[in-house]
Amino acid sequence: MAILPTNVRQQVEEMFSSLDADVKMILVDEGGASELDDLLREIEELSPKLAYERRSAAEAAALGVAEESVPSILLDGPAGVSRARFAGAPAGHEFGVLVQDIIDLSRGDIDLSDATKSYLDGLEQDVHLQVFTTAT
Amino acid sequence: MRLAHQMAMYSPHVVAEMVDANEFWDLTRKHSVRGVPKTVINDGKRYVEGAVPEANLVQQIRSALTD
Repeated sequence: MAILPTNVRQQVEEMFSSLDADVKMILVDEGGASELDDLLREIEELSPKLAYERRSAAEAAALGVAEESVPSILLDGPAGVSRARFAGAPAGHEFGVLVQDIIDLSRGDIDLSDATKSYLDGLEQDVHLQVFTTAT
Repeated sequence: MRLAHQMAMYSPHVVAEMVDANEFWDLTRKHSVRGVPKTVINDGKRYVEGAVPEANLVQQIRSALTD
């Protein structure tokens, strides 16, 4: 049974018509039946520029994913595997973030103020942001 | 949320994870997450509750790095 309602599929498909470079979604998890796997397969069908690959939890460290963050979704775009990730299901509002991330990576769009870009350009230390969300 | 991800896409020094609080109980407990969104900077150096404007998040990152 499809996870995404028909109207959402149509809407996302239309948004993905603006994709430029190819983007690959990578699911790092323990394997077996998973709603996340089903969801990403459905999303992959919505654009010929999208690909999907499933990797085992044993490969997490090699992909830069902490063991405590499995299952995770990574996005591999024109600049390599993105540092913008999803730990767990991108449900509710976060589904929209996943769709927008795919578009941003594919098109190279960055929507940040000049002041923020300038601050980030000067960063010499690493920053790890974890944004906790829920499906509701 | 998109803000954190945009920062990670822009800077090679930034990693940004969206964490499903319902799935990652250990992390949720560790950082005392009671409301969402809640942003944790560098494993708890700073916490940001709610959705905040871009400049505020930058300010909190700045503070976390100068401790």
